[in-house]
Amino acid sequence: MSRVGRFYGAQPLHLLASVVSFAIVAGGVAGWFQAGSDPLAIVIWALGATFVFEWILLPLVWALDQIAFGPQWRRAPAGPAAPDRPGAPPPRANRAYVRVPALLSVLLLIVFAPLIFSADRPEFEATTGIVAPDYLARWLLATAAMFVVSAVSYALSLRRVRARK
Amino acid sequence: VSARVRPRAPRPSSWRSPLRGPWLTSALGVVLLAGLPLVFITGLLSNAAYNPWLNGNVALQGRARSPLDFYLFTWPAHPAWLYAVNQGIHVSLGLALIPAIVVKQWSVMPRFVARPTFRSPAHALERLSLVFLVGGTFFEIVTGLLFEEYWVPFHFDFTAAHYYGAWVFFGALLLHTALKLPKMRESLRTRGSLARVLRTDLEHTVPEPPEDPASTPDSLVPSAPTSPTMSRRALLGATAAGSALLGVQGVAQDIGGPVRSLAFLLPRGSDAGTGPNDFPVNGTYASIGLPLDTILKWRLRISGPDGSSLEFTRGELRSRFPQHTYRLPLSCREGWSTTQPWRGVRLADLAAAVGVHGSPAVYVEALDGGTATLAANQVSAEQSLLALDVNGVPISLDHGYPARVIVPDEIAVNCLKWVSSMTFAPVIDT
Repeated sequence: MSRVGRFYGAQPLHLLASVVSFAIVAGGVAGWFQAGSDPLAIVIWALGATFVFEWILLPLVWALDQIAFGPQWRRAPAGPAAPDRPGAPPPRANRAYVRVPALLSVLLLIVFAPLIFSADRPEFEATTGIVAPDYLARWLLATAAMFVVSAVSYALSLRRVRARK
Repeated sequence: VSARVRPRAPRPSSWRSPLRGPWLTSALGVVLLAGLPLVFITGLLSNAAYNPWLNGNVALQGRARSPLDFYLFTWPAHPAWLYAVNQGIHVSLGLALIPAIVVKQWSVMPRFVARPTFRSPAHALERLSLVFLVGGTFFEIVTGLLFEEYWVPFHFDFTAAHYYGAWVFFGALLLHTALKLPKMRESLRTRGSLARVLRTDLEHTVPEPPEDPASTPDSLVPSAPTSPTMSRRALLGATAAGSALLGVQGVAQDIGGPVRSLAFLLPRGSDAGTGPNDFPVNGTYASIGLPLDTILKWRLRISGPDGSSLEFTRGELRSRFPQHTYRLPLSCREGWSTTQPWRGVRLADLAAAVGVHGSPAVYVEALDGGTATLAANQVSAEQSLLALDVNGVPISLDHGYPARVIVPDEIAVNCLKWVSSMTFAPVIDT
C-alpha cells in the first residue's frame, strides 16, 4: 500500500465508495433543508429517533429481558441425570415459551404505541370517520393469545418428550 | 523525558451473549439486504405515482426541486392494481423488517462503543457513515409509523422528510453494503449454516469460533461468553414471528375485504359497517368544515385552454353524459386499499365537452382547497371517472359527494373528493 494508502487506512476504492455514498447522503440532508419546514426539527427527530431507540428502548428491553430470563436461571434445580443420557444435566424448563411471547408483546406495544395509548384522539375520528377501537384491549388480547399459543405448544412438546420415553 | 504511558489492560468485555458473532449478524444482514432495497424502491415509485412535477400535486408542493427529485417516467394508468401492490409491499415489508433491524442492531451493539473510536481516516468515515445509516433507518421507521397511526407530533412535512430521509439512509446503505459484503459472504460460508442452526437446541448452542484478533480487533464473538439462555434458532424464530405479526397487518389492510380485520392494530383494520359507502375514508366531510349550503348549490365547472367553460349539476352530469361503471381500487399511500364499483362520467368525455380532443391533462380543484393535476395518460384512460355513485348509490359526503375523481392505478391523494372545477389543457407542467 502506498504511503497515502497507509495513512488513509484502506484501498483507494474505499475512498471512492465513500465519496459516492456521502454525496447521496448529503443530497438527502440538503433535501431536508430545502424542504422548508423547519429542517432543525427533522435533524432533531433523526437523531432523537436513533437515540431513543438505541440507547433507551433497546437497552431497557434487554435489561428487562435479562432480569426476567437471564443467566441466573442457569442454575436449574439439581435433579437426577436424564436417564437417556447418563451424566448430562437434567433438561431445563425451556423459558423460550414465556420469553418469546413476552418479547413479541413488547414489540407490538412499541410499534403500535401511538394507537394503543390514544385514549382521546379526535383526529383519528376526523380522518377515518369511525370511532377509534380500543387498541389497548386489542393489544392485551393479542398478548393473551400469544401466551395461549405458546402454552399449547409447550404442552405438545412435553407430550412428545413423554411419548419418546 | 519519556512520557509514562500506562498500558491499559484489556477489559473483559461486558458484551457476553454467546449468540453474538459474524454468522448471526450476517444471516440477519442477508434478510435486510434483500428487503431494504425493495422498501426503498417501492418508496421511490410511490413518490413517482404523485406525478410530482405536475402543478398542484402534493409531493413537491411549494418546494424547490433538488437533484434527487428526478422522474424518469409518467406514472402509468394500467394495471389498475399496480399502486396498491407497490404500496402494500412498501408498508408491509417496512413493518416486517423492523424486528430484523432491531435484532441486527442488538447483534452489533458492542461495535457502537468499540475503542479506539477510529483507527484511521477510512475507519472514521465508516463510523460517520453508520451514524447516517442508523439515523436514516430509524427516522424512516419512526416517521412512517407515526404517519401510519395518525399521530404526527413533528412539525415538518412528512412526504418530503420521509422522501429525503430515504436517500440519507440509502446513500449510507450503499457504502455499508460495499464494505461488508465480502465479510458477510465469508461468514455465511465458513462459520455455520442455517440448516445446522435450525437443528441446534439450547443445550447444544455454543459460541461462534473466535476470530483472529490481528485481522479483527473488534470481533463480535464474546471473549468471555455466558452460557446461552436461548438457542439461535429460537432467536431467529422469534424474529420471524415478529416479522409475520407486523407484516400481516400491512398485507391485510391492503387486500381488504374479508381479511381486513387481520390488521387489528392498524387504523384500516376496522370497517365502518356494511352499507354501500362503508369502506375506508381518509379525511371526513366533517373535518374540512364545509357548509352544507356549498354542497347544495354545487355545480361542476369545466374549462378548456381557451377559457371557455361549462357548468353542470349532478343531474345534468347524469343525463348529458354516458355513465360507466368500473371496479377500481382506491389505494392510499398509507398502504391500505379498497376496491369498489364506481359509476360516473369518463374524464375523456368531459374534456371533449369543452372541445379538448386528443390527450389533454387536467388541473382539478376541490371545495376543500385540494388541487391535483392528472397527466394525459390518466385523463385518456378508459376507466378514469368523475364518480357520482358507488355500489349503486350516490357517493357519501365523506367519500366526496357531489363528485370525486377515481383514476386507475393512481395514488388516492391525487383522486380529489368534492371536485369543484376541472381545467383541461394539452400540456400542464410547472
